[in-house]
Amino acid sequence: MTQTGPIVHPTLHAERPVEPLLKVSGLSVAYGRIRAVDGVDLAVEPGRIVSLVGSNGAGKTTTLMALSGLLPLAAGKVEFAGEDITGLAPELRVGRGIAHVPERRRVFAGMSVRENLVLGAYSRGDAIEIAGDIERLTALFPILGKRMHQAAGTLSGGEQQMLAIARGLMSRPQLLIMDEPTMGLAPQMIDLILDTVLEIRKLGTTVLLVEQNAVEAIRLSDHVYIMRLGRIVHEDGGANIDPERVKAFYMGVDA
Amino acid sequence: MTALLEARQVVVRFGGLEAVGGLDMAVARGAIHGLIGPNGAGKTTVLNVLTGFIRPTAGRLVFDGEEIGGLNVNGFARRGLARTFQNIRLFGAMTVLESVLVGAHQRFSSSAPALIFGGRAARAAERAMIARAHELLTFVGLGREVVDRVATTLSYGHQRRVEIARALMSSPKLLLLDEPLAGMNALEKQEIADLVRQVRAQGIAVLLIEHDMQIVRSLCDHLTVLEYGKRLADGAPEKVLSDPAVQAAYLGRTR
Amino acid sequence: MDYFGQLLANGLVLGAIYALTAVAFTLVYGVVRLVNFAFGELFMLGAFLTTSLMLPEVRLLGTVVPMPGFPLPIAALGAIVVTGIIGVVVDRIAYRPLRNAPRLAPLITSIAVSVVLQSLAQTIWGAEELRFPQFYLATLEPVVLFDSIYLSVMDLVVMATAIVAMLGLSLFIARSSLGRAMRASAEDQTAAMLVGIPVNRVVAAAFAIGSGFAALAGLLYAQTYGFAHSSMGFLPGLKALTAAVLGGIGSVPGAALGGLILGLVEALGAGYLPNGTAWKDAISFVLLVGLLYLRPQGLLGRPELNSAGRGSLLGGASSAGVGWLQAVFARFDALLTRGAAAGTPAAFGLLAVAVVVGLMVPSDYWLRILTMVVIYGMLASGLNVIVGFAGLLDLGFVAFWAVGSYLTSILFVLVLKDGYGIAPQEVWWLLYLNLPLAGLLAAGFAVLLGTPTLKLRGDYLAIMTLGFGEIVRVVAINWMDLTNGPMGIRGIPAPNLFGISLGSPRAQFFFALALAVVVVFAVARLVRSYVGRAWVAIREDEEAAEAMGVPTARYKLYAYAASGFVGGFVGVFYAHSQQYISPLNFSLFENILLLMLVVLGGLGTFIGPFVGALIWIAFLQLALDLPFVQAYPETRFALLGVVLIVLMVFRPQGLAASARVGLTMPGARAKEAA
Repeated sequence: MTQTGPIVHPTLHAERPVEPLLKVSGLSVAYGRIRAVDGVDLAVEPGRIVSLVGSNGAGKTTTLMALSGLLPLAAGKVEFAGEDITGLAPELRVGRGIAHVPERRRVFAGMSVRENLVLGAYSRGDAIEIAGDIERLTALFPILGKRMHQAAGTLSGGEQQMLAIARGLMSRPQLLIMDEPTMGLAPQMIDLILDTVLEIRKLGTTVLLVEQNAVEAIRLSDHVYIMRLGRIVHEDGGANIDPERVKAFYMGVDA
Repeated sequence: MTALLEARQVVVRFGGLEAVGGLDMAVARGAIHGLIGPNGAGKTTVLNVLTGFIRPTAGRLVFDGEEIGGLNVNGFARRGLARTFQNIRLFGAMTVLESVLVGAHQRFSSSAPALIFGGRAARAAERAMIARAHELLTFVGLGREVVDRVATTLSYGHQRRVEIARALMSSPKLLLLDEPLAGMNALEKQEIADLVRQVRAQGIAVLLIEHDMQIVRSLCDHLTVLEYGKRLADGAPEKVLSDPAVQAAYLGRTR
Repeated sequence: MDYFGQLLANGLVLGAIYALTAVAFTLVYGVVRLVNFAFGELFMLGAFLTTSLMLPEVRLLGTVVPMPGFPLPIAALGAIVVTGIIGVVVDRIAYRPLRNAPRLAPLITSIAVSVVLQSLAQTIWGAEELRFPQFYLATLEPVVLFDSIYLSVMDLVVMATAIVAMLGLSLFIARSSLGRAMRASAEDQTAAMLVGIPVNRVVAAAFAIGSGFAALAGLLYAQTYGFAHSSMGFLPGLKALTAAVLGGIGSVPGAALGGLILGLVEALGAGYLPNGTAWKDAISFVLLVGLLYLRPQGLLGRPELNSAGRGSLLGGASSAGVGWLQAVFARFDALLTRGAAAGTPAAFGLLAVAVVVGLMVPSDYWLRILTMVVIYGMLASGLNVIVGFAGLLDLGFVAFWAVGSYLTSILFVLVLKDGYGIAPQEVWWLLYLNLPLAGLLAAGFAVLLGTPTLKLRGDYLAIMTLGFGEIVRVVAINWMDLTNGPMGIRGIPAPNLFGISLGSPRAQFFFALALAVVVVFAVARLVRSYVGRAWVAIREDEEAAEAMGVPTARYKLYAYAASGFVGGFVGVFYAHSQQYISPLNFSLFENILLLMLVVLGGLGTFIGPFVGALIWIAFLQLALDLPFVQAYPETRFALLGVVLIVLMVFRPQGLAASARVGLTMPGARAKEAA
């Protein structure tokens, strides 16, 4: 019953438009008087990688935090798997099938890698299968297998990121939200993490990605939203987005 | 002519993590100097080093010909380095005028008895600083009507201006702005950029962190680009921003 | 060896009890970063509940109520469960609404909760000790170790229980799912929520377990010393907090270690130091103060816990509450805002009202009460400088007050009258000299005590100043030669001017009023200058203040000095007005009361301390007319505590918060209108 999504499952790649897994309409978030996110509409279809790109301060992280219930909405509606989850407490959204891998990883630094993974499955009641899932995830991230009893805080940045992703996957989510998974990582590690995103999709989990590394994000996404000043300014299929246009947003040249 | 502020081989380590690795940078007198780089590159850490908030693990700081590395934060301010904060930090419960007057703290010297028994000099100093505060509030574009409002109840844009006025109250030689344009619309950004130019016109050098490259390009005389806590590029904006390495740092490398 | 061995055994028993209570502090602090001062009272409830359940009948609220007379284990279990539930309820009502409030709010609320629980217990069980009943295990012959160390069977049971409970808890935290969730919430509440941990429920669990541990410690203490009493939780609570800080607050093994060390040090200190039993309470607090100075994170703690976070009580105040109440406040606020804007004229108006009242009130009784209002208002104004303006929660303020009172009393009574036989009226002028002198002495004392606290913020600052206050009290009790000890000093002369006695209640009222004018004027002048702006800036955002060139350490000391000056100054008059002082007048409770008055009236305002004092003392007197309060005077304190908790939840900025204080010199802006 708590089994919300298959963790190892070949995906059925959706060719035709289907009912979106996550549907966000008119989402607005205010910090005091400042509207950080202003009327954002998003749709994430199952089995896809959707990314949200834009320069710093565009409101990407704020959007994600609102999606997981960490920030109150000033306006708007969030629907997941056909149900309205707008007012749902953050800890209950995990049980519905949304896992959020937060910005700066936020692993439980004082606890072992294994404990972090077990905590990832907190919303599930099936103690027996948890061990199996940990094994499967160490296949995806072999390095975690070697560090199982080490405190998470002693891992390198890239390893912590893998742990954060693995911890998110432990809840068997239908949708994995990832916030800047490559921030501050070395180039080889960035490549590794981004490859993992594709891997996760292959395993049947839908991904909503916020990434500053726009070129890569566009390359691996099925659909891309570009944000600026709290609004969606452009959206298109990943293949149709002209990197030059994004460059214009980032580097401040009028293209 | 020597630089106003010089950082030599500055290293900052947090535990085992090297946040800044051997940074050299120099801010020229009367310059608008941009400090840019992708998220997590260590920009705010550097700004915190340059204002005394973080004591570097190694390296030297020379300001106006004087070694300032060993001073505490108020010592930096007293030497002429004034700053604003990424998330505006005005004093809650204080009016605009009162907040701005805190910036002039070092200019007051009356003793407690003089204050209690109403010394003439104490009153004159207060009057002079209030007049100066009014001048600076006008300078940053705030009208008389906001002077007695509690600063934190103003709009975001106005709060940012109050923060700049507060920093200017100490008559600094260098103004350090941490993302002064974050969360503003295009018009407000231009206004603040103009304000920065006017500050420079008064002979005050400005160091700023900013992500909007369009503004950076037009506003700054000189850029330092950080990546992984190290200097990636340094020089005139056009040259630096067209550097492929800088573009890759922002947009990601294409494989 | 045998003496040492016996002390060691006593220390271990005491240490076990401290350790169990320390666990409560540490567990809750770890998860919600709250120093729940009320654990001392939950400790006391555990003792009372166990004792009551074991007896055949107990006198509750004056009526004899039949009780089940359970054996110890069952009674203990019942008490632990009930106390655990009380802990959860307290969290739900008093702390949870404040989870995102500024740090001072829950801290002050927890102090209020303590006051409520203690007064309620005294109301229910009475002011007498409730004797712990005899039972089988306690009648067994003591075990003799090495031919000379006597350990009762119950001592062994206490130690064994503590060990089992600690190990059980450690295991629970390390292995169970809830324990893991607790550790995760302690590390990062947001990340915990994101993995699906219901953080509120985890916090409730921490309160339940912590309260259960406090109750267990309390009942073991009651068993060891043979009684339960409403104030029994106070000192052990503070010491357990010391133990928790000593071990490193947030760490369970640290709490065990800290408790053990504290128990041993206290037992050995009492045994070996000259007059050790009298000074044993001071030992713990000296240890606490020294530790916070040298290693604030404790022995096993992590350093980052000493953070205040930004924002004062006044910032981010919630405006929750029912509609009509909000409307009442809105009207009240508008009135105050207008009054505060009028500034000096409003102050003169209030003074005129006070003078008229002083002239008109016919009864000496009410004049005495009004004099107390003014004295408490002045003292609260002094405390307000440090807490309200500079934002430093000082629980040792009474020490400054005590310095002033003792200085003048010692000079007049012990030195001049008893020492040289000089009659007070011959040296009447000394009082007027003592006022500023005591102020300066107390200010110097305040700077001395303030200096080691500069590195500390928030909770740790409160704990350290509390330690100082307690040390001063213990010194006042035990330094017989200087202070006359617990007997206090009698025969302090009433104020006198040119040989004319100002002892009449009306004269005293006007004397107090004149001093109040001086105090408010001086404080106002300081606050309405760059000094006050620096204080408020420190209160609102210390780092930003420092970045604006404010030497924050020095200005904190100025705040201590100003606050100390007022305390010493008023203390002089207090002694002459009461004509008798003893260490009891300067207890932590008085400090808490003053703090409540400032918070009630409005931190960081000039009128707030007087509003608080007026409401409180009027309330004390009026409540005496209520039949229920006549029967149970303690309920007045409980009511004050409840009022304060309600206020913290619905109006944390205090009643008179809208009487906002301007921070610029009044005259300096006169010209700008032109």
